[in-house]
Amino acid sequence: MKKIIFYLLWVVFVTACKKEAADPEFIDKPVIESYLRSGDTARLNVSRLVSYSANAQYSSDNLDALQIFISTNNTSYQMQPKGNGNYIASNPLLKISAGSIYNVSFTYNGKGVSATTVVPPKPTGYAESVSSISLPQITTSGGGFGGGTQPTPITLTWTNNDGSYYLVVVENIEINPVLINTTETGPSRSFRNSPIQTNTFQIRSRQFHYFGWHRIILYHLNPDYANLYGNSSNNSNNLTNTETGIINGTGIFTGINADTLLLNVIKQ
Amino acid sequence: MNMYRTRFILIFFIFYGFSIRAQKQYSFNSPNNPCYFQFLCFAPDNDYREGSKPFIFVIGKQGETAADAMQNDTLKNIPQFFSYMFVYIPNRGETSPEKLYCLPALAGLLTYNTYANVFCYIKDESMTVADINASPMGKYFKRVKLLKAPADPMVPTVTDTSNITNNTDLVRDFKADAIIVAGQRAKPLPYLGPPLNFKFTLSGKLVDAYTYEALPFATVAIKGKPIGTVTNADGMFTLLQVPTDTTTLVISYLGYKRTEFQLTPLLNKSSVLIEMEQQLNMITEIKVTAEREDLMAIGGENLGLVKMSPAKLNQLPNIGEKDIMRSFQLMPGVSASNESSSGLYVRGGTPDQNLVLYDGFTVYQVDHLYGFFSAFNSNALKDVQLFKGGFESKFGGRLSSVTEITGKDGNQKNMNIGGDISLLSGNAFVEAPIGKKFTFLGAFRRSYQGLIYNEIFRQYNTQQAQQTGRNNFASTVSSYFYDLNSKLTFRPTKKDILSLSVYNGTDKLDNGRNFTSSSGSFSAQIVDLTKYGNLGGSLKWSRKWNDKIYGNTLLSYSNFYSNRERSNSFSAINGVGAVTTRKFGTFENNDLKDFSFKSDYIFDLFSNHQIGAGVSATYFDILYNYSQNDTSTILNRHNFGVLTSAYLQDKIKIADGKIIFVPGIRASYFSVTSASQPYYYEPRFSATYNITHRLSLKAATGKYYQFANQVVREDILNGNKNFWVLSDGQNVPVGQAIHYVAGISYDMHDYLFSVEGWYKDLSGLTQHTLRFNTSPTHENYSENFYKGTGYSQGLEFLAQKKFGDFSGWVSYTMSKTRSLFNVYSPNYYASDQDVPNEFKIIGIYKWKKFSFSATWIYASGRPYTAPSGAYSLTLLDGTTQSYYTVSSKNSLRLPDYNRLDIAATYQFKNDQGREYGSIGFSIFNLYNRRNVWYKEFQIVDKQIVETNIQYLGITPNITLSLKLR
Repeated sequence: MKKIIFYLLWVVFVTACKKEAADPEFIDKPVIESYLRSGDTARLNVSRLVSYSANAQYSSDNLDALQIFISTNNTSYQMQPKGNGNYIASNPLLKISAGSIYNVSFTYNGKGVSATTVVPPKPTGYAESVSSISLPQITTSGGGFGGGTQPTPITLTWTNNDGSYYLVVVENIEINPVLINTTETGPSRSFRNSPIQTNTFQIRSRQFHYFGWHRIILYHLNPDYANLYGNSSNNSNNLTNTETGIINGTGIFTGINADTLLLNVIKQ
Repeated sequence: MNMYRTRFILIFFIFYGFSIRAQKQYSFNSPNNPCYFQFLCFAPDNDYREGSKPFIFVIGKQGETAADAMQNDTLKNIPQFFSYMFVYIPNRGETSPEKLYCLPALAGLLTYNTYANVFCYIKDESMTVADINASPMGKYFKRVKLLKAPADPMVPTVTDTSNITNNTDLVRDFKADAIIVAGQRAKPLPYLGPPLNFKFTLSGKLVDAYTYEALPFATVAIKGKPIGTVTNADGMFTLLQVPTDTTTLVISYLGYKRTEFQLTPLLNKSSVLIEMEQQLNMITEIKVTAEREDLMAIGGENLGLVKMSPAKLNQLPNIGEKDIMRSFQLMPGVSASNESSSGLYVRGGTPDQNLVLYDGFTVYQVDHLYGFFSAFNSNALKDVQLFKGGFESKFGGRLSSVTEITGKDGNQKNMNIGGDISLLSGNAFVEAPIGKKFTFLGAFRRSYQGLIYNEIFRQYNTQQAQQTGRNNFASTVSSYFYDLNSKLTFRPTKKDILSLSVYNGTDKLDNGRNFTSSSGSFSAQIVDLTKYGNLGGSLKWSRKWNDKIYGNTLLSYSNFYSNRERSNSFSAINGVGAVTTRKFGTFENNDLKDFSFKSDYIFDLFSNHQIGAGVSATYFDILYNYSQNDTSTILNRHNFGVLTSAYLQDKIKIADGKIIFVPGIRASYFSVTSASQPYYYEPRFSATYNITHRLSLKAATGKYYQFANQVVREDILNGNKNFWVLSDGQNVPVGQAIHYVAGISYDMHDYLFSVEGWYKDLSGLTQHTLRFNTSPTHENYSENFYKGTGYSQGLEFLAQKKFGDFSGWVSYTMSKTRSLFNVYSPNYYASDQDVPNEFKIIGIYKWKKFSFSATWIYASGRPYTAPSGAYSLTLLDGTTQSYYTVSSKNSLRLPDYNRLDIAATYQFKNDQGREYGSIGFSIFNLYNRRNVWYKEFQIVDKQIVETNIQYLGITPNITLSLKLR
């Protein structure tokens, strides 16, 4: 009996002292930002993660001396560093085209970093319900809401048979735009909504801050880009590990394709 | 009378004795004393131990010495007097008063002045009934017989006993009363005559000597043999194949004196009532698993069973309330480092995996005030037992463990009222018999916003306020908890008991604040309101059909609700005078209803089989709604389901009870998954091998399913939360566990050593996290449930000193609990509740009416996940957005937990030594260790602000408890 107890105690003390190999809190991974636009040159930016830990161990890799390759159709092209972590695939043979698959790879912190994406096709059937709207200028504070009748929203439509992700970005392109509400100071010239999987979108007149011509860009997206939205606020429920599809790295490496319409906001 | 007594006490006596064959000769007093004489004692069974026998004083004929009296006496040869002590007195003096003069004094000496069961047989023919009546003999002796006396019913004549063949009358005349008592109030009177019945069935009931409260789950065993049983929930028991009707029973019940009770042929074998007396002077006896030395087989088959006595909890240190669930956390295998949960983390299990039954109905949440206190008022509790694993087929629906709580029925003899007041709450109870067949008990407890309440509340909410930076708002805090227990018991016949038990407990935690701008055009309201509670009740009918069949049937309802709102609402008056209100925040509503029917039967058909069988049906209605910003519903589930189950088990004893097997099977039908898997079978098996009466080996295995689960919602920044949902077989699978448990225990009279090991294989686990958004534009967050598996393994060591002025225990638990959810990692990670090492030491020292206690706890820190880094991306619209990376799941550990608590309690006792109250002073966290509860993170300008949410620092408390009886 005593022997059994001593044996058990021995087992306990031996095993109790065994340390498990814990995952390190911070792993130095490269942050990639690259949007492959149809018809454009491949561009990519590499940056470092900012660690919350004072004891973070960073790799010695030089962000401007990485051997980054982009490949498509079994051909690989080395990207050229342009400083500040920017790289460009200057080879004229590499033109981003819809439907093609692109792969990027390099070594960082001793690990192979890679990502793959496909460039979606250009949106089709893109149309707007009106090409101009008229709005009154607002010059007094506090009266911005509720007064008067609002113009009918602008309806954008396009073809979306496969539930693809689309994003609408509205951008004022005037050189000297005039504010709709003169009491506002420096509102953004562009606005957007989160990616959607429908084939229609309405822009309410209240969303405009400036008079004049606007570019209404419809982006056709991959799901990984859509994941970047709604995931970034400090609200913990939205604290997400965005699924970027980048192996041993983070950020975004995605193909996009876009179509553009114009809309004029006229002062009443 | 008083003169006699006083003089007797003043008499100086000496004892010396020597053996002449079987009898012993003694001198009473010194030679010059008027009461000096020599007498003989003779025990036919040669057992001369003091204090346990009835005495028959025998005075011989005129002039006979003690030796003559003995020689001429024939009573001593009658078998029925085998267990008596004969005291032969010399026939001294001339007159009757002289002859009787010193007898009461000697009787007092021999019986320690109790004069219990002393008889006298006088053969002196000159003495008359009048002589006896004129003397004080009648006051001290139970019966006095004269050999030649008239036919007086008070002093019956005894004929010459030498030729008696039928000695029934004689036995009756000298028979001691059949006093069925236990404990110190009166010693059990042995009958050591020849047994008259063999191998018979004995049924009875065990009650508290003072309140007649039935004592459930007590052990009743046969001394020296591994034969025994456990009383049922109504305190009734049946012992089959009792060897003889002079067998001695050994009865143990936690918090009560261990009692030996000798059967006699005179007892009614179908309804023995055994009264147990509380351990008045013993301080907390907390008994773990095994029985004392001669009870090893009894209840020992329940591997991992822990019992605690609610009545004795006041001896342990506390935060503000004596608390049964907190006290269980001091046991090996039950985690003690979670101050914010009264729910039990048993052997790597979570609180929702622990089935809590209160008077038969399931209680789904046991927390008061952020979990610092449990929902159970110990004044209303009678018995609590925890099965840590490998539990029997009777219990189902949980993966880890079972806590079975039995409420008091109420005092059957007298009305009693009492209460406690501490720095946290006030507590009052009343219990009373109503007529002869009803009893009632009601207990109410309510917190008040005194020192401790506010300290805990502040501890939690100040930190919240700091982190949100809103502590400049006017606070309108109004928070409390209360609970109410009531039970009405009706005993229409000796065989039936009907009881209605109702429990209601509510917590309201309000940390809301209001703000109004000076112009009045803008106002903001911060709502931080949590309201939760339980409402439950059961109607139970128990019936002892006969000696061999006992059953109870129960109808119950249990509701757990939790509403949580943390929101900011802003109201503004716009230009045209209309008020617009916008509300931001989170809204959570969990509402669980359980309607159940249960019927359990125990069949004691054969001496080595005890068959248990039962059926149950539960209708679940579980709602969970979680929304943000009063418009977007993240999760809205409302599920219904019926679970019906049946079980059958057999407790088989072989090898004279040394080996016990309990095979069992539980089968369930779950309506929700009827399309994919309608039936669930849970085979279970346990075995006990009592190698010696001290050393036993135990093992158990079994399969367990859980249909209603508390799912963890991961919240990295603010700490995880959880909610109850019903398994749907798809997003939330039915939980499953397989237990393998083994243990060895060595139980000495005062000490207990035990080692138990377990391995649990878990599957069908569920977590909810919004961290991985598979379809960001979908509103279907049911996709965010993730399925996983896991395991838990560990070893528990316990060394306990059970009795004495100093008692306590030391325990160490090493364990490893791992989860595997592919969404987090392809590898196993440490589960949220993983505590690799936990050490506890509990010491209690009794000194006069004081008891002093101390507990020290050390536990490894729990794992957590934290944001680890940040990066920015420029989006397609040109804006820059920050993103965060998170450490590997649970790859970080909180600092180790440790804490020392001390307490001193003074008991108020009445003249009989019975406690009617106590005053206790305790200090929680004596050295003010700032243990970390969890971490909160804020991300500000790409920097992380980490806040340690801490547990309570040093917290003194004083508790005054009083009761009428």
